[in-house]
Order: sequence, then C-alpha cells, then structure tokens
Amino acid sequence: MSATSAQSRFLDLQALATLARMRFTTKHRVEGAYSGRHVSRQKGGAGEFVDFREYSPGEDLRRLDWKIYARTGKAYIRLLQDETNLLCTLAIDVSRSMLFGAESDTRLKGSKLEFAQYLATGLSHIIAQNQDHVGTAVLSERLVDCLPPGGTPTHVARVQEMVESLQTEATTVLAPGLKELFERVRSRGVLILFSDFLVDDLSEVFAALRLFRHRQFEVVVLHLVHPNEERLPEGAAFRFEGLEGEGQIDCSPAEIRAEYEAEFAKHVAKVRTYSLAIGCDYRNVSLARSWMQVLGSFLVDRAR
Amino acid sequence: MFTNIWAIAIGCAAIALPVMIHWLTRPRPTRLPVSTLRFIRGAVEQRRSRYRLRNFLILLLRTVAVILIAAAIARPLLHHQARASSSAAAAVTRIVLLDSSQSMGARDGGIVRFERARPLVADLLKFQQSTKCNLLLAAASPNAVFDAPTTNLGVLREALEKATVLPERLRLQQTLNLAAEMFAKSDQGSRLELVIVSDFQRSNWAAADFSVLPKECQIELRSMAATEETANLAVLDFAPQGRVESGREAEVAIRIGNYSDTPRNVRVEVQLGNTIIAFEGFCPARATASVGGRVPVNGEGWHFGSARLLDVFDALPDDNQLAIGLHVYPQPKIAILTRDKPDQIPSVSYYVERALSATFARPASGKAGQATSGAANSGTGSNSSSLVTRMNAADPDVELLRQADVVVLARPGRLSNDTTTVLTAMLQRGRSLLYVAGDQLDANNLNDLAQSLGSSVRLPVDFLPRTAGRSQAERFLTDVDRKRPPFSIFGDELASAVKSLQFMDGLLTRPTTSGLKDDIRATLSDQSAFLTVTSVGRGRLAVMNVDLERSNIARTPVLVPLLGELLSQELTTSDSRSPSFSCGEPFTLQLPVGEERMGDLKIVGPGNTEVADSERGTLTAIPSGIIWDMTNASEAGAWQVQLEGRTVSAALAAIPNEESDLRSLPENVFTGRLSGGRTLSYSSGSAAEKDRQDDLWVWLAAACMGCVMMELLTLKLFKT
Repeated sequence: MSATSAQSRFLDLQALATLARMRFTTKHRVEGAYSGRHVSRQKGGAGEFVDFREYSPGEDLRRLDWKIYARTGKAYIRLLQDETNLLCTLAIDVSRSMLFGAESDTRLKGSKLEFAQYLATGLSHIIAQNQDHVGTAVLSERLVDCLPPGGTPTHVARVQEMVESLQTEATTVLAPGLKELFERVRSRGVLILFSDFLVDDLSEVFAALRLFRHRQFEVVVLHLVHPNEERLPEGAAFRFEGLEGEGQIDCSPAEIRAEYEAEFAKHVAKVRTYSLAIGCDYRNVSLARSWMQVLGSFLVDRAR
Repeated sequence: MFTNIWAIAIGCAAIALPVMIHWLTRPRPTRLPVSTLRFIRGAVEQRRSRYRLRNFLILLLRTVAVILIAAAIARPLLHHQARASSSAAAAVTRIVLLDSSQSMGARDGGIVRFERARPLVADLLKFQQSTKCNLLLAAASPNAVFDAPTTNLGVLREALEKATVLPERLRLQQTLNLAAEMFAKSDQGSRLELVIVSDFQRSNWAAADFSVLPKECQIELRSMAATEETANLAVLDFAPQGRVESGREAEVAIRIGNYSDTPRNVRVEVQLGNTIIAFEGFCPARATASVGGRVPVNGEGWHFGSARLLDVFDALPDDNQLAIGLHVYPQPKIAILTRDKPDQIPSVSYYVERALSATFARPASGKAGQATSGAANSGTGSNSSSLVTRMNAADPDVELLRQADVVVLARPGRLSNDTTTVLTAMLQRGRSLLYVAGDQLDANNLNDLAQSLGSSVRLPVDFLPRTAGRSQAERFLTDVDRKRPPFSIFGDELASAVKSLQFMDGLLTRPTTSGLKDDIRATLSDQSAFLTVTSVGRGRLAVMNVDLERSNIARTPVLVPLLGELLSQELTTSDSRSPSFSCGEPFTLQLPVGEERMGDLKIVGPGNTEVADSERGTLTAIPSGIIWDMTNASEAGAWQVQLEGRTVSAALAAIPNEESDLRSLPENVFTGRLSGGRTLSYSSGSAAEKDRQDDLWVWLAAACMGCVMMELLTLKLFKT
C-alpha cells in the first residue's frame, strides 16, 4: 500500500500520518460488496440485532425467533443490521476554470485542480486504509475517465495515478459527464464531487446529482473556492481573459468590485442552496486554508 | 463681440485638451486570466451604462469648462453693437468725438469718466479694413487730431493716450460743425459714423443740433455717466462787496452750488495772501447759496488765493476749489476844483468840502493815512486830516490832479482847454468826475467836456443856462430813483428826506435823443435832471444840477449822505473783484498802463509761470492804453499782467459753472427730440452696465468652476 501510494506526488504520507486514525464515515446506509464497518442497506442474519417485527407470511422463516414464538405463541422476525464496506467515487471536475491560481498552464501550483488532487489523493488513501473501496471519475463535458471503486492497493494506486495525471479541458459544462458517470456506477455508495461549479449548466449539474441522490447515493459536494476569485485584484485596469475561452474584458476592478463580489457570493449561495436542496453534504472549500486543514476538518465533521 | 477674440481661438484648440487627457490617461490594462469571467461580464454589464454615462458626463463637463474659461478670457460684450467688420467691403468714415470737458473728470463708482471712456475710444480706433477714423477732443473748442479722417490710427491712439480732461465747458455745436465738415470731405459712398463718447451733460447737450450732419450719418452715443444722479458741490463764485480799500476789512461772498438732492451744510475756507478764514453756511438741494463775511486785507494791490470747500468728497473734486483775486485799493483821493476862496463861507466849494470831509475822513492813524498825507498837505487850505484836496480851477496842479481818484468841480468857473483835456483823459482811464453845476459857465464847461469826450459818450441830457426872462420859481424833487445810489441809502425815509428840499437857480436840462434815461437818477419839478451819472470810458461822470448857495439842501442833513453815497458807490466803485472768465474762453482787458511801458509788461499764468506763447496771450497798444488779449486761458487760476514784478491787472480763469451740474440728458431726448431724423443709437457705458458686461466673464468663470465641481461630484456619485 505504502509502496504504491508513494508513487503519487500528491500523496504526502508524512502529513497524512496525523490523520491515520481518522476515518471517512457516512451516516447513510450503503451497499457494499464486502463486510465492513458501514451500515448496510441490507438487514440480514449476520449482523447486530436491531429489533423485532411481526412475521408476515412469505418471509424467510430462518429469521423467525423461535424462542419468542415458543414462549408467546406469536411469530416475530428478528431484525439484524448488516455492515458492509463503503464504495466511494471521487469525481473531479477538470474544466479549465480549475486551473485558476496556477502559475502557468503547465505548473499547477496554487491552482484549484492541484488542491483537488491533494484532497482526492489524501481521501483515497484514508478510504483505502479503512478497507473501503475508492474509485475515481474525471469529469468534463463528458466522462473523461472513470475507475470504479476498488479496494486493492493496486487499485488505489491506479486511482491516485489517475488523480495525479489529470489534464484540464476547456469546457463550461459538467452535467453530461455526471450523467455518464451515473450510468456507469452500479452500486450505491458515496460520490464526492470536487468542483468549482463555474459552469454554464449549474441547474443540469444538480439535476444529475439528484439522480445520484435518487439512487440513494450520498453526495458530498466540495466546492472549491480560490480566495482570488472571491475578490478582484487591486489595480487600475485589467484585461480579464476567460480560462475556458469565454473571451476577454477590459475594465477597472475598482469600478465593478462590489458587483462582482455580489455576483460571486450569489453564485456560492446558489451552489450551496442547490446542494442542500437535494440532500447533498455541501462543503465550501477555500484555498486560503491548506488541504490538510480542510481534509482534517472534513473528516472530523463527517465523524460526528 | 469679444474683448479678446484670440481667446476664442485658443479655447477652440483647448477643447481637444480634455479629449486628449481623457485618452492619454486611459489606463493600460494588465492581462489576467480568470475563471470567473462570467461574473465580471455580468458586473460590467451592470455598470456599463452607468460608466458610459459617467464618461460622457465627465467629457462633456471638461469640454464645457474649457469653452467657458475661453469665453471668460475673451470677455464677451453682450450689449456691444456690431460695427463694420474688417471683412466688410464698404468703406467706413468714422469720427470719434470724445468729450474732454471738465464734467468728464467726475468720478462714478471711483472711476473717472474720462478714464472709463479712454479704452472704449481706443477700441473704436482699432484697425479695420477700409476704415478711416479721426478723433475730435471736444471742450471749449474742438481739437481734431487730423484735418480729415485718416487710416493712420496709431497717431490717433497716441493722441488719445495723451488726452486729458480740460477745465472747460463743452462747446458742442462747434464740434458738430467741424465733424460735418470732415464728413463733407470724406469719400463718396463710404458709410459715415459719428461716435460720441460723453457724459451728455444736460447743460451742454440740451441744445444739441445734429441737423448739421449728413442725413446718412449714423450717430452712436456712448454715455459715460452713471445711471443714478451724481451728487456734486462746487464753489461757483467769489465776490467782494464794492471797493475794497486798504486798512478796511473786505466784505466777501462765496457762492456755493449744491447739485444734489440733499441739503448740505458747507464750510468754505478762504485763503487770501497770508490770511486764512473759514465761513460756514447752508446750501439747499439743487440750489445755490452764498456764504461769506469779512476778510481782513493788508496792503494795496492784487491779492490772490483760493476758496475751497472743506470736508466735501463729491464726484468732481476739481470744482471744490476756486482761485480768487482781490484788488485792494488805497482810500480814494478827492480833488475839488473851484475858484471859490478857501475862506469864503458859505460857498459851493465850502459845502462840498465839508460834506466830503465828513464822509472820507482819513483814519486817525495807520499806514493808509500816512500814504495819502502828502497829497492832502499839498492842497491849499485843505483839512490835514482829510483826503479831500482843494485846487484852484484857474491853474490846477496837473500832476496832483492826476493822482486824484475823484475830481469834484464846484463852481470852477470857465475851464481851460488844458484842464478839460486832462479831465477827459482821467475819465477815459477810469477816474470819476462830479460836477456840481449851478450857473451858465458850468453849462458851457459840460458842453466842452462832452465834446472833448467825443461821440462815444452820450450824456442823457444837455445842460442849458437859465434865460434871464424865465421865472425863478423854486423847484423840488419829483422823480427819484430810490433803488440805486445815492438815494437808495435813505431807504424808506427818502420821501420825508427830500420833501423839504427846495432848489433855486441851477441849470435847465433837455433830454438828448441818444442818451440813456437810466442815467438820470433824480428829476426836478420842471423836468430838469437833478442828478445824472454816466459812464465815460472807464470812468464815470456825475452831474448834480444844484446851486448849493441858494438851495436849502446844504442846510439839511441830506447833503452829506447824498454826496458821500454818490462818491463811494458810484464814483469810486473801482471794482475790487478780479475779472473772471471760463477756462478755454478768450478774454480781453484794457490795462491801466500807458503804452510807453508796454515793453516792461509780461503775462504770467497760474503758478507764476510767464506766458511766452504769443498765441495764448498778447498785449496790444491802442490810443487809450494797452489791450490784454488772451485767446486761451487753458488753466484755472490767476492770469496776471505784471510790470516789474507788480501786478497791474489780473483775470481769473475758472471752471465753468455749468460743468458742476452733472445731470445727464435722458436717452429719449436724444432719440426723440434731438436726433433730427438721423439714425441715432444710444448706449449707456455707465458703471452699472459696465459692471454688467464685466459680470458676464465672472459668471462664465463661475460656470467653469461649477463644471469642475460637477465633474468631481459626478466622479464621487458614480464611485459610490
């Protein structure tokens, strides 16, 4: 495991050592392929006792509590909760807007994408450490790449490798990729979406996420916000160029600062509202903090 | 019209300045890739309309500010009538008449009217194509810079620079006539313009006659007077009362004119020689008043000084002071020519001498008395304390006779031709003669005297001796001129005084056709003249038709005041007042000097500067003396003729009284009554209008500042 993880430059094991005891948990019931620590949607006969329920004809008689039936003459079924493992898919938006903050097109240091890569790699490492399955999906205007959840070290290494080798694409839509991903995934699990949601089809994106929610996925929205996006730079005049090929605008930041900040805050609020509306776990991830702080607080919050 | 037209061109060029500034100061954008371009675009679209509006407003305000400041510097003149432009094809003959009379020296709002007019006239004399100009400086006489309109406007402007206000009145009609002559000589077909810059003083302009100008002449009147009435006080006149004699106080009266709507208490300081004395009085509004009193004078001869208003700060300060002159005479010397013996009592000469001695008694002591003692002592049988000298009419001392101011003939017998000639010459030179006529010889003497005086003298009556067969009835006074001396001294007591008078003998008289009846002061009951007073040359001849021995007048209290008043008011009335003339006006005076001294005389102007210019003043010898002729007494003050440093005659040149009344004629009088059918425009260049014109540039500058403030406000508003 450690050998494969060391291959990714985003896997900082020394930093992750502080989170070694942390687990990525979910309060939702999940479907897993194997027995694990997470509450399964299945109530079978191998789990912990939960409750009694009156027997209905046609039910499996193996789950009938015979001792109660003998004492009371009434038939009750013993309800036992199965525990299974977690299937987590890390969906990463690779639109070119995720390059914001990068030193250049090739040097991604400081960009939202790099931040997402650190987070995704760290999460994959923690999830895999807890015997859960992790997969990844690279989203653009289409599903660029997808690796179903898996739990083997090799699989995790492939996941981290895929995360490491992400390439941005000039697109302003995200919903088609999500829909394609929805069609590809089979079992219920957790979908963690890394995105800045700077897309033209925001409604469609959340419509697609709603599909995941309908399929009883737990959707965690990690909204990546760069501090320089929240406010415009100081200066007399700038020629603002869109990273996704939207053209360019010449203006003085001072003249539109207030409107811009209002627009951006409105956008953030809109993403949050949409997320909560469909039952997603929304997290505003500011790049002003280090990815370790974000990851730690995220895991802590999830553990509560 | 603009004062500085060049500023408009600069302003037009400067309009590009804000555009350039706008373009040059536009920020150079820094390239910045962003992920949130959609939000930036949204914000920009929100702000774009506002910023377009802001930029438009700022550019507009900056441009307007530049235009306004250019217009303010250009100094627009809203009420300025457009004149022939430099591009006009038609030739223009323009004559500018600048009033340089004293009233143009008045101040309105602290600015002298003439100085206010000067730039206006300079503007009129600026070069324009096909324009000929001339400048007429109008005062007592018109002064044209050139004989005809010229294109040499530089010389006109130089003459304008040197022009000053003259202490003269405006002789308008002469100036208009001169302008009309110039227009008559101007080029045919040219447009004729007469621009008159004046204060249009009521006293000078009320009788203006523009009809002498050509019909097609355009007359433009530019008033420099204030729209409101300008208050002014002036010292108009200084007049001593009667003959001022040495050793006696002079009674003087100073006339003050109040040309304002407010009554004023006035205080006048009279400085005469070393004497300074102040008089106070009250001057009603729009009226004249006299203040005065007694002024001590010392020494004989001419005394000069000034009378000036104290504590008066009015529009025209020049007329607050008046140069004054006073001729102080010695006490009159009276010679009685008679053939009566000094010790013959009663006699005609006795009565006359006693009466005159009572009136002209020498002061008990004093310089004047000492000066005349020699003459008094040289007389035969004269009283030593009297100024009256008896002389034998048969053989008079001619030299002594010539020193007398008044010669009284009392029964002189038949006068010799020489004596008659001497007496005639004395009359011509200003001495006076009283003839107490009672017998036939006197009638003959009077006829000889009249013949010797020539045709220039017209006695009111011919004196005839009584014929032997005529009744010797007593005569009495029937017709007396009670208003004039000597009878005016009796006042209301005249009737009772003359009621008891009875006249015996005496001469008969017959009125002459050429004589003046006014010269007869009293008439007897037989229609004979009792007293006649006639001007003869510079002297006066009085004839009293009475036989003092046989009439009772010598035994009544009437004779002494009658003779005294006659001599003091009529025969010794050499006016102590110096002749007064208006500045700029010519005057002529006859000098009391023989022509033999003509080479020693010199004319001295104000400030004791000798007048060497023969064009200004000349002395001419005539048979009766020397004539002093001044053609142009341009300065106010005392003009004198001196003989060996002693003033023998003087005249005072003063600012004409009309110039002190600063009221102007209203516009409608010019455009209506005085225009005479000519095209006449009137514009007021008064302080108020001038200020209003000046105000415009102030408002433009304020509007420019307003634009700048609006720009800042716009930036502030759009920023917030």
